Amino acid sequence: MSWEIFIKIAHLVGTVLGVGGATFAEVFYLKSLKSGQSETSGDFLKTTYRILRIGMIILIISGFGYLILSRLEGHAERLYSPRLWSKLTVIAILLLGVVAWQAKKIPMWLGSAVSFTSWYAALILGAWRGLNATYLEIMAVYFLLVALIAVVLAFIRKSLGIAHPTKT
Amino acid sequence: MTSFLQILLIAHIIFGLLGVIAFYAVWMGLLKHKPSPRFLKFSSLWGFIALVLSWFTGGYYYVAYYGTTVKPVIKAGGYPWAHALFMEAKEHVFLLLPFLAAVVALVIWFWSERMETETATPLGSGFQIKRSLVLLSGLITVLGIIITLAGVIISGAVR
Repeated sequence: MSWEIFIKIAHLVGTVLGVGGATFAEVFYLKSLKSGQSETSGDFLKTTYRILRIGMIILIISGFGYLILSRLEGHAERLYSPRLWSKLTVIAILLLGVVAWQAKKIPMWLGSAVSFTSWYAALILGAWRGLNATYLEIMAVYFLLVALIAVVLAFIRKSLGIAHPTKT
Repeated sequence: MTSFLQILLIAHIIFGLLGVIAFYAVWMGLLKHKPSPRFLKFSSLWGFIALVLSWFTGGYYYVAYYGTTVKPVIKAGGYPWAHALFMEAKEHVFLLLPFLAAVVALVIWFWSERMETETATPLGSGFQIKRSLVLLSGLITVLGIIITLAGVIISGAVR
């Protein structure tokens, strides 16, 4: 197996764990709120967060594996791609968003929307080869999607009759 | 580039990433209501070791190869600011990181067992220590992310 295939498989596994984890984190979060538990106490939710962290570590290491390969194989121009820098920015926002949520500096609904949107944005940016857009265009769409997902998640909570948490 | 230098470059990047991930874990761990001393000790020690290893592998690569071979290519290419701005900033910030990491690891190693009792109230004697540890581990993480991204900019300019 070549390094490229190994890195690609690892990157896919990291993405699957992360995107799947982010989706189920939202589902279990809603279930735990509906059943009256504290927002992060459910066993399923804790396990899901653990899977998310493992996915993130695999994703970061394998992602940089790609960058190392590009550098060593003489494809340095790939390192200035707007798609790559948008992805790196989204991952940095995701990481700092989780810290802000843990430190109770942002409300749960926003942390949830940032996490959910960022994981899917990373997936879409990774898969969308040949995307013809500038860094600013991609980031503008990302921020619009964060707002849209926050509204959609709030609507889902409301329709399920779950009290809207303002802070964790 | 020889295989040895390639391995050094890869080791520099991977150890740097592992160091930043470990201090991110320390940062998150310290923000928990009840931090686990065992987890904090393990993460901070591993983070410190990883950053030192990244320091030496990156330092050797810089002295043996980057300065003589890569730097002239970048300076003669279309993105000379990648060295003039980002590498110059990166190498100075990077000098600082293992020392910051050592401070955090040492304080956690000798104090974390008493953290829970000494931070029970906002006026507890350990409250300021914990707050400083949160700030320092956050600083290490944020600086680590910035110089990691600077590394991508520098590598992208080698053409």
